[in-house]
Amino acid sequence: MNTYENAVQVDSLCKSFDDFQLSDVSFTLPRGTIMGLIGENGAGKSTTIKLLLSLLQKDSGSIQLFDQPLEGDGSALRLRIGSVLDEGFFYEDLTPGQMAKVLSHCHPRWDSDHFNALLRRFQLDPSKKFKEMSRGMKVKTKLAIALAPHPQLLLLDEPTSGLDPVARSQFLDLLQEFIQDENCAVLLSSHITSDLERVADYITYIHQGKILLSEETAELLHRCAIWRCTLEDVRELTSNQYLSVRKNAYSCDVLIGDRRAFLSTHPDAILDPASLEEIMTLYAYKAQ
Amino acid sequence: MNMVSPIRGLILKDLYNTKRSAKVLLVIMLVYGGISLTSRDLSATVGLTTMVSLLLPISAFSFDQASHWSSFALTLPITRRQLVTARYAFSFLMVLCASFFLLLSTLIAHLIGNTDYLDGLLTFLLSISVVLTVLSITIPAVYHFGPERGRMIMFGVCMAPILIIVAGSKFLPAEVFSSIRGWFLSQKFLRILELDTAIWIGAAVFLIFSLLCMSISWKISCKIVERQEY
Repeated sequence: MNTYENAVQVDSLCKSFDDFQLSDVSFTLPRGTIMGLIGENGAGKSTTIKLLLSLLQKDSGSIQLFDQPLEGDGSALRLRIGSVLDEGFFYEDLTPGQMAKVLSHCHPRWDSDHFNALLRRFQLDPSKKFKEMSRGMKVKTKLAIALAPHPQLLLLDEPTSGLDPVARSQFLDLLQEFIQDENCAVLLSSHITSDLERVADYITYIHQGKILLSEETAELLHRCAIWRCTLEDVRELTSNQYLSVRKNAYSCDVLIGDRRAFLSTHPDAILDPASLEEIMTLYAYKAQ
Repeated sequence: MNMVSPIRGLILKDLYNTKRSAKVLLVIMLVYGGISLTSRDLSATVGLTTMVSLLLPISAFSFDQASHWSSFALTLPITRRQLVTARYAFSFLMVLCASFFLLLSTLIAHLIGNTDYLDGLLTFLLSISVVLTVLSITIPAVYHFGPERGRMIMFGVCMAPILIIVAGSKFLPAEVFSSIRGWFLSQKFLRILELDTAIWIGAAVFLIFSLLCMSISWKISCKIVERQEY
């Protein structure tokens, strides 16, 4: 098993389309950790993951996977990557068993026993056609396929959307098991921020193709807070004392970027803990 | 680490996908084969096998598009070149299977005394050559434009020779055709050959030409796919 420091290191990554631009994206995913990639629809999460998989070609910037530069078509590095993309890849008339036979020829590290064990764990029938499966079953099959070759890096694009809470919880348990091996890492894009609060060691927030923040989840949740106050209170603040403000009907929600510094100047203020969802939505107000 | 062959895996995937339609096609081919044998005319079988060997490779593209297969396959340790090579290998396999059926029909027709097997063999060679030539134009077009427009291009390619001949006979003066005929007749190498021999040499040259077309076509498809984004 190859060792490395950073599973993913992205520096100043840029990619332009006719109607969208990914600009100056930088983040680092150390080994043994899970990074949550958050952002609204069309923010650039899938584009970033596709660039890591060489499905898209970057315009500029650098990508390193397992401390090695991603060059050419990247097929050698993809040997160590498992991925679940938002788009399906299921031929409706095929079964997981048939797909396993195909993939055993395509992937040098394919482990049929491991794949079958995962199917049993997810209570999936290897002879059931994909067209007869529910969305949850398809997601689990995709995950089993991604994990069967024992990857060191999982790139997961919205894998939990459409899953019920029980299935999502099982999925998150599996990710935490996967990460027990310190040579593994996960980049997980999701809209379900509560899931990320539970499992992600790092959060990277992309908004309109730009990184708004990328840091440790615990540190982010610790330093940020919500001050629910009046518009008059907000008017007394200086711009460096808060990150953004959302005006409600009768009050304001102020996102505080440094709880300790804010309390030193406003000792009487009552600050609520900020959830990842609140940080995400209020940051978006700032960006707008 | 397993000994793997991505191309073998990719062909297996196409075969799994083709299995369902192949069963129906096989029944149709057997029915047409039976009709051809009893009516002493293999032209229906020739038409059907040609159509089947053209349509199955293009259908494989449609299956791939519907399931976003290419973008998934390229998340595996598979190169874009292997993806293209596997599709060409699958196309060859389909052409060979359909041609084998045609050859078998020819031999059965000969054994029951209905047809000249040499004519059948010639048809077999020509049908492989025609299909490979059409596919060599169609496959890069499908990679570039997608299966729907690629299928239209394929029909265009199939119809083009007929249209050219019809249009030529309508708009070109008769002297043009007589001068072409005269040029052929004036060639020494053609005059020294028996007509049958010349036809067989022509068929062999056409087969070599179609294989050359497929080789160039594969290179063009590789270039197209290497530039594509998913």
